[in-house]
Amino acid sequence: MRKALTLICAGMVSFLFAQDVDEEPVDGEEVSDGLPKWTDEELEALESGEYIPGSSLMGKLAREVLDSETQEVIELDPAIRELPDEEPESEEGAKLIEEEFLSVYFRKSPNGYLIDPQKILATQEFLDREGFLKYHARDTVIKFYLYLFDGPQGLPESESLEALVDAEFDKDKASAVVFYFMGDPDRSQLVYSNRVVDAVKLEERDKVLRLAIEDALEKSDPASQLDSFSIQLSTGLARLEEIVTNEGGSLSGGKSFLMPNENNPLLNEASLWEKLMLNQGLFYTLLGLAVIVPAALLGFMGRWIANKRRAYVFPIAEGAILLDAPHAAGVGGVLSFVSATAPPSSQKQDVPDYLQKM
Amino acid sequence: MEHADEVFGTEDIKLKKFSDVAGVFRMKDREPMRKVLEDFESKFPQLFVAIYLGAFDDLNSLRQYGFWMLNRTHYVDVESQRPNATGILILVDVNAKSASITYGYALMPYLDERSTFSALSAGHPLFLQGDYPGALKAVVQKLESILIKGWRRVSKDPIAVLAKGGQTLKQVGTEQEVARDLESPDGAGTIGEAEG
Repeated sequence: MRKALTLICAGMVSFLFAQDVDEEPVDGEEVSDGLPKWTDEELEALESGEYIPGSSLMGKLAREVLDSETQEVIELDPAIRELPDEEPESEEGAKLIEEEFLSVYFRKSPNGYLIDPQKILATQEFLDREGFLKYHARDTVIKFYLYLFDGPQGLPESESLEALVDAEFDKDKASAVVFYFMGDPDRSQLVYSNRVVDAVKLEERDKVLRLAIEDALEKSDPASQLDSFSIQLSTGLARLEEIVTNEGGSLSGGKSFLMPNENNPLLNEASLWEKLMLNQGLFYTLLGLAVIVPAALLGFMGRWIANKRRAYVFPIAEGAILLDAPHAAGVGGVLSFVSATAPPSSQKQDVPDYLQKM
Repeated sequence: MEHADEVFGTEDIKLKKFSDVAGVFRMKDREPMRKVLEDFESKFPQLFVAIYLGAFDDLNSLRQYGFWMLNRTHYVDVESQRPNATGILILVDVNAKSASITYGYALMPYLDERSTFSALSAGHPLFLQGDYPGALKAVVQKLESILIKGWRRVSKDPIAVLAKGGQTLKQVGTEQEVARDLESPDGAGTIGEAEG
């Protein structure tokens, strides 16, 4: 401990001396390296331990602590301890929005999804964020409008987010309007248009902002906070749409995603069967094919089976006996299968002589 | 016939319609072969096919032996309404590697040397491989198709077709009865009756 304090003090003294030398160079002193030099006396005192660098700055208490060998706890003076904590800047003391920006914030319909008349975001940051909001708008029914304020800025008492939404946003469109304070996501406000309020439960609506703020607070950098906030809020809005769709509700311009049967043009379209019934020519053609094709198949199958089972009966005939043979004189072909290379036609045997006689 | 009797004998012999004297059929192949013959008889209720596989040492003429055999054999497992005149004998000499077909009087209008040779040729590749069951089955199937064609011809013009075989239509009833005989699926009339 003692050694550490010694080193710190030595460093501080060196720093102070260095500053003095820079500001007021003394004539005749060696300033070749820009640093002060120990005098011989001081050097001896330092080496013997009698001199502690910085002890004159730290005062009597430090001297005693350094001289003592015990590790005493330094307690703050009661008078210092009882000093009141510094209070955060009050609402009244918050920085107010300049008059020239108020009209853009509160008296105009938004000309984009990101409203930042004070140019709190750098140009590229603005473009990135606006691009994201446009991307969100393409994919979701609930549009996401982001009004950007500086962290310590307070809203004028005469203005509010609710009043802005009522005045400047279309009631028949699903919108989510956010006041976001850079670097202070906890102050964010979110108000939905009536279409969303009518379709989504309060619990689900509140959850969207809460989750977005929680995500933003996980980051320390204001720009990253805004990034996380907008991404989470966009996800939450998409989730709201999904909930509404699953429940058969509507967010899309007064038309339900799950339309009633009587209004659904898809369901009201004539079914395939009805189309067939209307087109009599096609209907009867298909009906004919539906009958003829299976019938033909059955016919072929029946014929095949009948042929397999068919009995062929020859007419009764009579004739003369040949060669004195009582039953058979029909001498047919003879085939030799000795050679595998010669064709059967070349392997016929000649008719024996006795048959040629007949 | 006298000449054949001099060579092979005058005594009648008794055989089954499928006789593998040469012993080239394995046991498991014999029953399917009998089934092929039975199917033929179902399809042609007046006819039958007999098969004889022999291993002859010095047979001068396979044709002559077939001619003699079909005239002298009493097939013990063929019904009496199917006389030998309605039979087709496929004779195979496994030693000489040759096969012949002989047929009864009743089949003379429908079969001849050329058609029976084509039937034997259908089994030629299988005969070459020594696959006698396959070869004989192919021969029988080819005979069936030839006979079906003959049946069609005789159905259209029985007199002309029978005359080609040196036979005449036997007048056993009215024209309607003849027609019925032709169409009857289970008709069992004797055909090709020979006059002695």
